[in-house]
Amino acid sequence: MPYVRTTFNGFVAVIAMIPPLAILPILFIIFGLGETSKVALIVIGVAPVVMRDMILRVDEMPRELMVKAQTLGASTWQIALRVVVPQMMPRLIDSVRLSLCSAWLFLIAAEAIASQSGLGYRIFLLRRYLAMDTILPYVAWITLLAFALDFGLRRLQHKAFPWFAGRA
Amino acid sequence: MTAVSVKNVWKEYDGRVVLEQVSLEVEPHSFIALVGPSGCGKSTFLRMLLSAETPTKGDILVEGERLPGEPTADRGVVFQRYSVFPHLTVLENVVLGKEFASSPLLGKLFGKAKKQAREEAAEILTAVGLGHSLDLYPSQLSGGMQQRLAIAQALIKRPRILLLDEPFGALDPGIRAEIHVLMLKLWRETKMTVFMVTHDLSEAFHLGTRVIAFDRPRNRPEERERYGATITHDLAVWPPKYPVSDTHFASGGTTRLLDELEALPGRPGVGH
Ligand SMILES: Nc1ncnc2c1ncn2[C@@H]1O[C@H](COP(=O)(O)OP(=O)(O)OP(=O)(O)O)[C@@H](O)[C@H]1O
Ligand SMILES: [Mg+2]
Repeated sequence: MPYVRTTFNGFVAVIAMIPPLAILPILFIIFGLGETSKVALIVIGVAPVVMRDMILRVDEMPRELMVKAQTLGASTWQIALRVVVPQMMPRLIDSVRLSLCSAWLFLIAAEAIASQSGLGYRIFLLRRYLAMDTILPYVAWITLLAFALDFGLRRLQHKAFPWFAGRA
Repeated sequence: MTAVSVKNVWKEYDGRVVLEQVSLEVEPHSFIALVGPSGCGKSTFLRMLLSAETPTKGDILVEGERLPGEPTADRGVVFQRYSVFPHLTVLENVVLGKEFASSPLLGKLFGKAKKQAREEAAEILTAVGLGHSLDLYPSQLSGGMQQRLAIAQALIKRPRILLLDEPFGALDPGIRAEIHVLMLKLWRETKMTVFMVTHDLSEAFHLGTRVIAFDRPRNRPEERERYGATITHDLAVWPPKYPVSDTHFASGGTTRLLDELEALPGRPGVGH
């Protein structure tokens, strides 16, 4: 179990080191210039960070809780299912909220470089005409969307995991 | 009613001796209070009794059998902190022990089995004074209530041995006195063998049937690496807290938690 985790940990750490934007061309070659490439870029850029964050959070859990679960007769599988995963869910939401920043970055970059549509595409298209007055509303839109998403996730966390907010 | 025998146990961490030559014979239904200066290895000793840690040398026998390599359900534990699961309500925290036992795959009960487990858990929670807080989360409880919850959670597994690591250290004197009464009652009724680490000597003598002190006989800086702590005092507490035969409590008219528990649906009753 610890061995599997170390290997996995190392693997994720290496993946996380690859600058996602650098492999964007590769993605375009594999997936074409469509939506798939953008989604793939965001996933590749964000997932390793979120995964590493989750691994750190699991390591952070007090050992006492694991021992306690064992004294209640839990198997490793049961501990994962009933103790670790449920406690990680709200933290996963936190992690995703933080990652949204870079997700936006990847999205706009991908659209700016190779897309025929989307907010990023339009902003960079308008840049050529120095059309500041039309760029700003787009920026406002993106900000609003980002804010709404963040707010939605926070609400979800609050509703689905009421124990998380008030914990010591 | 469980005898524990510790035979010449040593514990080293990275070549540094923490405990040495610890030998101890514990009679069934003892309440052992462990005291000693900070860092002398009391928690380490408790973790070895729990199988969360293995002795470097020596053996620990329970009822004549070597301890298994992992913590098991016959030894319950209450830590000073982190003893309850923050994501479960009070009731769910106690039901959890039942669910682990009866549902290997999902660790969750449904329907009638769930209802039964919840009733049993509620019964135990009422016995420790948490009957009105079943649906609260641990973060909504006071420190004393959290420790009561941790005790209830351990009790539902009917452990033969209960290990307590400074369980009441963070509680104010009033609450502590209340919990002491509860603890003695539970100890008498369940006949568990209890080991409790404490820094409070009066607590040790009030609750324990025997007080064991750990200390380092050699404690000069240059000796610290090579010499660990061991048992320096072993005092039987006088007067004894119960007649050795235990018949007094068996025939006493007090309501006994164990009987209440045994009388619950789905459990065979015990005669005595
Ligand atoms: N996992 C570990 N790795 C290395 N050293 C450890 C480990 N656990 C404990 N120790 C060492 O063992 C010694 C005893 O620690 P322990 O926690 O058992 O003390 P204690 O008597 O419970 O102290 P306290 O009263 O402060 O709780 C300490 O010197 C500590 O540094
Ligand atoms: Mg300790």
